Amino acid sequence: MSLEDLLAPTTEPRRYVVTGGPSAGKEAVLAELHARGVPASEDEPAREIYRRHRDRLGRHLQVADRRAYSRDVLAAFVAEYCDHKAGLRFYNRGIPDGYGWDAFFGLGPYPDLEEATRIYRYDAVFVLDPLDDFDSEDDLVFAQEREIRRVHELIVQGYYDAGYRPIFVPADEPGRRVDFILAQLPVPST
Amino acid sequence: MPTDDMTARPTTSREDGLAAEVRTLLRTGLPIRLAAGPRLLGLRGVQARARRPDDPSSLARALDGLLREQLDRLENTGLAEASRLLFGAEAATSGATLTARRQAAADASGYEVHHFRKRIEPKLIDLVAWQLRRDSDTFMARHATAPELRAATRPLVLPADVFAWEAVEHQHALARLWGAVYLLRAELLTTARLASMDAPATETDAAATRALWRHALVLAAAAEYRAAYGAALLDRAGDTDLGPDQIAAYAGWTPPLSPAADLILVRLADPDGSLADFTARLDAARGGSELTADWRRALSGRDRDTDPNTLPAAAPEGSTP
Repeated sequence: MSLEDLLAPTTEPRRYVVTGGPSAGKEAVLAELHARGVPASEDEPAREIYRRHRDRLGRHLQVADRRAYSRDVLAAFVAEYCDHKAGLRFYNRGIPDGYGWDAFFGLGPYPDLEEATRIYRYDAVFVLDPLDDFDSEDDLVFAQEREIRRVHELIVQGYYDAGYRPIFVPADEPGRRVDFILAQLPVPST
Repeated sequence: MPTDDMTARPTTSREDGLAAEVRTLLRTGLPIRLAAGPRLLGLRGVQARARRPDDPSSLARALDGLLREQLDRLENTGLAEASRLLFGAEAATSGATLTARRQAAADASGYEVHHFRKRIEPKLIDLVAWQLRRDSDTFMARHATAPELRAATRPLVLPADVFAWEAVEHQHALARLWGAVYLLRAELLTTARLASMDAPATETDAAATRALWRHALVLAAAAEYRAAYGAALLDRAGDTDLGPDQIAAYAGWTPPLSPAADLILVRLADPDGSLADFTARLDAARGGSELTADWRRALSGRDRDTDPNTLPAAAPEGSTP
């Protein structure tokens, strides 16, 4: 099946996740997909939810606040999943990302996340390998590499735990990464 | 036929027994059962991925995911499919006997099965063990290091990304904690110098009191970190013991205090307040004067005839005024 066939709005929905740790170059890959007319997430739902929680609390999220935040993010991911009815779409992170993020902040999996992971399945998961040079992507130089690395590995682990076999996208410039991703399509469902 | 030249790998994994445990694990293959070897489950990369590093089943799941990832990333791409079949990472051989997995792997790689078992399989095991070791080595060493500072060449511009915001919040908490630790260290050093120089007691006591104030601020910063992120550092990698309280102790030796005294100090510590505010409030708290006096004596060396580790620290229970 060609990319044009996959893009046709009459075909069955196919959902692909683009994920990875911080500084993996995710935004650049999604921007490249948009530039090529490939449907992809416009935004990351977690941003607005994070702002909302922080505004409500008047401070940074603490351990006791994180479950509620995680549930709101999950609900947004599920809504984004269900909104897609036909053709192909790339997602800026997927439901199982929740495993990795929660684990990073010391939380275990919870029933709603496990149920959503079981029900809402993606056709494939593309994990962007971390870019070698953090400076080239943004100014997160102060977030030490080990912190970034740990988030990345926990996210990957979350997808394996959820029964996916991620496809690793080597560090490269965005155009070549998108070429690599599109060359894998259609990936059979896991 | 793929090349079976994999002789360039280090022998570390074989020497430390990791390869032997991978060989044992291969008997049952994937998915991994609880009985995986202690070296495998103890790998820093496994510990860091486990949701609950103290739970053996969580460690086994983490090892399962890590092994699948390493097989997906196998250095010898010509044998990648054969390796996944051999370990049962492919649906076709998942849960199958080793004999069946080995046959499938040999077929996929174009080797006769006995040659595969004798010549290829041991090298694959070594390669997988080496990759597992390399993965763990990339996690940081087990010691606390303050956030690394670098010369800024441009203004700090954050991407609109949740992790960037989270990272900034976390680095903020860490910077406050480490900043407090270094300020305490400065006062502890000064107090030690004054004591060594036989400075007048008023000078040494004043330095020791500043150290107590800084110590209270360290305790408060550690408590702030714990409330936000828990008792262990987020970026601790495989070191599950390292937490804000351990970092607080990095400033240098301080007289041991009772938990009640710690609580009082945390309550009195105000990051925006002055030394005068702190001492006034401590003096007014029940037991505060005794706590200060004990602290001064211990730091100035006037208690040297007694073991400082058994110093009977004051435990004020009074509330703040």
